[in-house]
Amino acid sequence: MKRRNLLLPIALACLLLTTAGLSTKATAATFDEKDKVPGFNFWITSQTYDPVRYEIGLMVAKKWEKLGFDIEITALEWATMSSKGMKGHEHDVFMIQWGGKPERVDPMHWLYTLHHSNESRSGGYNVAGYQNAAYDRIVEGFVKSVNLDERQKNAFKAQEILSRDVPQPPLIHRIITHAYNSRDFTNPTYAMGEGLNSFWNWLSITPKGERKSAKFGYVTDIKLLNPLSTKTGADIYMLRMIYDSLIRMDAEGKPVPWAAESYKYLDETTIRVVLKEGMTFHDGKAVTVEDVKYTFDLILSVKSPYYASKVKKLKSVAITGKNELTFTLSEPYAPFISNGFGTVCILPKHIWQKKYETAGKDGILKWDNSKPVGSGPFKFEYWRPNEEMKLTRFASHFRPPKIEEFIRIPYAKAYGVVQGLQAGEIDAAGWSLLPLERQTLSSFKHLTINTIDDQGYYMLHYNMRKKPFNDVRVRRALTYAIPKKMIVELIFSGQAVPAYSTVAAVNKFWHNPGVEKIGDDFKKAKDILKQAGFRWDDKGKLFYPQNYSVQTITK
Amino acid sequence: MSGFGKYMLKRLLNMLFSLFVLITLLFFMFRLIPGDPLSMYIDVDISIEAKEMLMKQFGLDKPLFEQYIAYMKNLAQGNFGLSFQYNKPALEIVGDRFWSTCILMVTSLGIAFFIGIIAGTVLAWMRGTRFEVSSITAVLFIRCAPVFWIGMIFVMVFAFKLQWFPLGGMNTPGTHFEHTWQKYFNTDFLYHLFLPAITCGINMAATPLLVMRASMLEVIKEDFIELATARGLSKARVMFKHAMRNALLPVATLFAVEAGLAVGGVVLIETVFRWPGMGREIVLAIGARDYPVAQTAFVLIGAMVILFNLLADMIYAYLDPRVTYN
Amino acid sequence: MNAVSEFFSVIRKDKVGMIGMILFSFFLIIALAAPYIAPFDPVEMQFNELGKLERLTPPNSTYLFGTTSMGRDIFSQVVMGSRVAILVGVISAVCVVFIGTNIGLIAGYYGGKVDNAIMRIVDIIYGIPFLPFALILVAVMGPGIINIIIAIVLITWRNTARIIRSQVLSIKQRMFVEAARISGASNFRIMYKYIAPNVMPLSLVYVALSMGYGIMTEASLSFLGYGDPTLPSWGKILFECYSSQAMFIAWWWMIPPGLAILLLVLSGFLVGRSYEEIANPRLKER
Repeated sequence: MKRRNLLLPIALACLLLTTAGLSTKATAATFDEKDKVPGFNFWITSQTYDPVRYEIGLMVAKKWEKLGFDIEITALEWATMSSKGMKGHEHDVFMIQWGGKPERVDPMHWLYTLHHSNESRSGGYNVAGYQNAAYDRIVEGFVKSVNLDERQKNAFKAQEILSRDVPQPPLIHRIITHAYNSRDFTNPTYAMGEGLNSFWNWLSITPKGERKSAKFGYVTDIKLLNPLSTKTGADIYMLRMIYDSLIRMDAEGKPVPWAAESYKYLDETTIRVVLKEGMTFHDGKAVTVEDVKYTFDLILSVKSPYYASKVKKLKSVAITGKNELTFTLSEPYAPFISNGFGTVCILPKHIWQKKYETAGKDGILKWDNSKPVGSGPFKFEYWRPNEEMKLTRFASHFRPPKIEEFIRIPYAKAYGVVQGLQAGEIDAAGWSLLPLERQTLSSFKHLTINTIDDQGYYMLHYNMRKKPFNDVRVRRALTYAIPKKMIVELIFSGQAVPAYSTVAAVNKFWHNPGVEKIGDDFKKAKDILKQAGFRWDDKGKLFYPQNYSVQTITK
Repeated sequence: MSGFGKYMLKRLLNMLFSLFVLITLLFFMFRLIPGDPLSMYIDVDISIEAKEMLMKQFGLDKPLFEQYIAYMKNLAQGNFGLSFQYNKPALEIVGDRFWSTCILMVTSLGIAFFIGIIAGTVLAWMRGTRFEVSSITAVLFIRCAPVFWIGMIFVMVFAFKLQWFPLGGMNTPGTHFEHTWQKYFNTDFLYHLFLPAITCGINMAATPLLVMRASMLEVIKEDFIELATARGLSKARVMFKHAMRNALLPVATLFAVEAGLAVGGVVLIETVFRWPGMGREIVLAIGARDYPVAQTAFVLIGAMVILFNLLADMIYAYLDPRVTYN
Repeated sequence: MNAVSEFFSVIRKDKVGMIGMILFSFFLIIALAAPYIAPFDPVEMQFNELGKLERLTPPNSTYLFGTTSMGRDIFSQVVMGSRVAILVGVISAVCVVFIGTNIGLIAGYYGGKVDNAIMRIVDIIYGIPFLPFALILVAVMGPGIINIIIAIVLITWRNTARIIRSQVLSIKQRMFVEAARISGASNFRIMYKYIAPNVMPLSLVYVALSMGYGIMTEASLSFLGYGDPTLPSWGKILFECYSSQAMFIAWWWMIPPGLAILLLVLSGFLVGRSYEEIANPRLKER
């Protein structure tokens, strides 16, 4: 890798560079400079943002350099990388971590959103710019079908293609490692993809002694309590405690009825929902089908940023009985249950309608909803931004929590969370401990550390719009050269597993175990390039084959 | 108007102009940072259209200059704009932080000057002894050490190993306050304040200490001290009663200058001790590209620095009759 | 360079200045010879004979200052870090003083409107909280050693400019300047031939003092996570130590880089102070 070296005698450096330049020219007889495989810029996050990603980046780059590529490493702040890469698609290659939220158990996100060609335009989430018509057809089938077996078959096929074409290979699943105060609390729930940072944990965790209030530490604070205009996952986690949704994803990621007593497909585009009886909002008013209908209508009419993509296939909601609603979709769309029913917070009509009348469409999106009233198992108490937020138990809920109070404390930095756990300032944290942190915390007797596999992963995003990533053989070689096992060993001290398929192995129903396991084979990486006719000069730099023609995807 | 009044008025106008330039500079600088507030949110749940709508909502789609005019207009009415992250007025977000920072700073300055004056006097008294040499060396060491490093050592020794103090933060979490001021008026707050204030204080104490010592040495030479000594007063009495009072002047002028410098430096202490102040808020807001919040915090800090500079001028002009006001 | 040789002859006579000079030379030599002194590549992970990563190994004969949580040799990092410190310190100090001296000369010599305008700018810069502003500059321009130096220079030239200006104001009144003007020397000639040599000693004091300031700023920025991500700097070593929570278990990771910063900053301070006191006894601590 090309690390900018600091030489005090700059003249000397210049001299070296010139001689280096001269000597490449000398060998140019057989290796034409224009045939050289272009070097690229590898964006990694700064250590401040994620030390793990920084370390992985260095290790990967080293292998790639050995393979003959010229690599420049640039460490960027998250905001810069996100805007230039995720949004602008200006990157060569970068790495991000995709979280394993339970609504991603249905692999819509992994298979469709990240890889369908529709999403490859600027701002879309097909960051690699992967274009494969055959693949598009398969995932369209996957999204539209409501037949589970057929969907599974398509999902398997899609994973197989992706692992061959490697537009953006998954690298590593962390093993989520969360600590909690087992001296004062018992019965925590480690949920898939979330660990202790899960709704189910907040319901199940039980105080052992007198202290009934549980304090949870986080890195970032929540930002906004208006479900219509929130932008971050942290907000949504809190909102789901205050508000109920028709269904919830359980700790394994399966949809279970929640505010809905039951739901049923009448046909491919019509769903009937029966609402649970006897629910009330925190202000004492009853939750009715009117509220549910109003919520979905409001979301559609104000084009809520957060919900828009989730309900885009929803055509209308009708009240068809005392406790019964009928949802009509514009076309068959399987993820509607988990994404639509599973995420939309049921809003009290009597509050939001009044606000809407005074503030209007724009105003209701800008509203900070600083005292949210919902029907969920927790009542909102107060929030002091960047200090703490408090929720209390809503005793008349049908599944009341065991703790009396829930206090959320943002620490701004991960080390703050770890210090908080040590000092007993907090009882649990949603921060997955790094090896060193785990080692430090394990000496504290009041803490218990447990783990659960993650379906989210660190993923490399190549940019297929650019050379040399437009060639599948290059991508395969690069991916084979990644030392996944070594990364697990050195950086995570074994607290992680290599990732091969776009859908995680823990996601048993959807994961295709038969996909090609790319990685950890440097020799194979070299062979792939050799077979395709790539050449190396005497300094080990990589050159395109003579009479090169690009091969975008595997045939 | 008296010369002094005129001079102060002129300084005040200058100060407002400085603030205006600073705000303008900041406005454009923040917009030059790569990345926009929405790029922070990669949640796939937000579609491209929704993002464009949000940009419009915050007026980020308008030409830069138009945004600037709108910003300045609002500012003139005391409106610092809405935070991109919180949908709340930026001033409301920064307000609490402002007081937290102020208290930390004033306490540190107090400690710095207290140590500086007392130790400066003692060292002048001990002039020529081995104690003086080793003390001055120690003072220089602390002055030249990075303040965050001293903080780290203190956290490790006093908070982690000895457990005398908390590892960081400003209040024990989970305490409910009826209103904001309760946050600052309780023993728990003082307990959290102690370590960061001491760290910052001893790091800043070097300058007043050296000035005090030099000033004392000057004063000691003067007649009235010799007279007092001749009258048979004890050395301690002469030093602390007669000499010290007269030596205080140059230290007093230093106060405002040091305060101005300290405002900018608290960022580091706040980071080490996780103090929820403005410095930390700026770092967070820059990371999140929440310009209104970062800018508001910056303007407040800037105003404080300028105010202290003005104060320094005033004290100087007041104490030193040789200064003319034109 | 008369002023420079005079500078050294003055320093040689003062014990405190001499200590500062020796300290500085020590770091300079380490920085120049860093690749020969550092036993390992500072980013290379170290493994023991059994192939296990040397994670947080306390100091021993192989790893003089121990290793980091990622098994990197701290001694090598500190040695290589001296290059960043010296580079940032020296370059920023020279730039600051060069800019500050020239601006001070121009403002002081021309006076009137020019002086007014320049002093207004100086006033504005005095109103800028230093570290937060440097943070924003680095965020705008991207992290990198050059940008950090630029940020330091952009803000700190004010101190030198102000002092030099007041010095020029008093020198301007002296006889030999008047004589030069009468003999028809150009403004430029008067400024650089007659006045500049007289403010040079003061400028040199500020080179020494600004160096410490520059080094401290770079370390602070790195500690806040805005340092050059590809270079091992002392501030960055401390940042890594702090953010990985290792400071509670690995004192050897925390002490050496901080001590190095301390000593190098101290060297500049000692040299500056001792020269200041000798060259210009009327100048007091500011």
